[in-house]
Amino acid sequence: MSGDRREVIRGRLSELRSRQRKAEGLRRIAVSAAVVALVSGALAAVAVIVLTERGRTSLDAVKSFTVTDRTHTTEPVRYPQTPPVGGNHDPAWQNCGVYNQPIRDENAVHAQEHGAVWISYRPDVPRAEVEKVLTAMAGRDYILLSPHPKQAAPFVASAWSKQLMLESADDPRLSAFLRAYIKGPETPEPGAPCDGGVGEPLL
Amino acid sequence: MRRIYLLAGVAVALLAATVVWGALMRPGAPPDTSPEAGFARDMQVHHSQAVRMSMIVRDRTRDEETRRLAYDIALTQQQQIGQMYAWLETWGLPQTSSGRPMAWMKGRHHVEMTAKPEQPTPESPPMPGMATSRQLKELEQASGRDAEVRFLRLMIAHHQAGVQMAEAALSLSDDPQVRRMATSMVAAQQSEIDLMERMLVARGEAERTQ
Repeated sequence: MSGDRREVIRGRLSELRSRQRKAEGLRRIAVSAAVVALVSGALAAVAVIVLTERGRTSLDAVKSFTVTDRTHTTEPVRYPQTPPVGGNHDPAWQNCGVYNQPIRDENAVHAQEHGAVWISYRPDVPRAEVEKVLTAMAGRDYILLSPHPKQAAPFVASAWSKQLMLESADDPRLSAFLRAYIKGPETPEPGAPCDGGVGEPLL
Repeated sequence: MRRIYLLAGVAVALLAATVVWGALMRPGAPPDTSPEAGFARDMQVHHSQAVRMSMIVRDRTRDEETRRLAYDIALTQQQQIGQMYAWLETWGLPQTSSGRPMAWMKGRHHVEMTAKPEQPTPESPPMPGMATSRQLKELEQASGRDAEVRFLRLMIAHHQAGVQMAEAALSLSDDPQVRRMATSMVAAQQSEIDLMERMLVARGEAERTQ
């Protein structure tokens, strides 16, 4: 083999190597770009899911009230909210459970004082819609369910000093409200009875 | 030199993350879906019905033995409800779960639990072993020996499911205060089941295991 041919072969080899190196460099850049894109895409997706889920069950729309009166009275009480979220009330509390007739505000407020959440519905809401509330109740006690003839929203969830208006019983915020406010931190007498009072619930 | 800054930066970030994590996750507090939280929630619901049945039967009979037992059950279980309420408060957890009742037991129950209907009826117990709203109404309307026998039967079934729930907590939890309470529930309720079965026999009723 002549020295010239060796030179030529060496030259082509180094050319090939440098091409290879360039290709490897490009590939590395492409791979890292893909990884970065994938990871940030996944993070963004997680963030979107978390944020929408938070939004769906957010309790930002819950209204808070300051309730100071809580004495027993057999007289009718005028409450500033409809349905009420606390105040003076009847000596007898309403037994928790499901009613298909309106219950007295004064008895329901006493149950709220003991930690009950009162889910009330406008009387014209279809029965099938109302029955969806039973699913949201899911084995919890300390819940009153009844129609309220004077309320504006289809559904209202009311606990002592807390209230949430709802258009539908499917709204996941209903379950979130129950979780947050059944015997919640605002309850004046958490764990006091929600049976042994007045009323014969259907369930 | 730059490396030192970088390392220092990472260390500070880690420290901050640990502090934030520690503040968010109370040390030692069981999480929301833990067996401890499930036990504390479901047992409160279960217990409060036992309290109610005891209060009813005290109004429906003059029998000293039944009234004393009912007094004992009502006050013991009401006190335990208060303890479990306080655990959840201390753990920073809501008093009710978003899941189905008994989900935390992971199948550790032998009482019929299958295919709980989505929609409750007056004939469906809210939880295994609990009386239906119809049975409660019947107890409220009964009196004397009839009320005693109804109470004993309902409370035996109630306690049997309670013992199973406490046993499930014992097999799923390492928390010392949960284990202490569950252990004492198993012993106390089992001995009350035995007592109530003897009381049924004494009232001319054959023992009937559920």
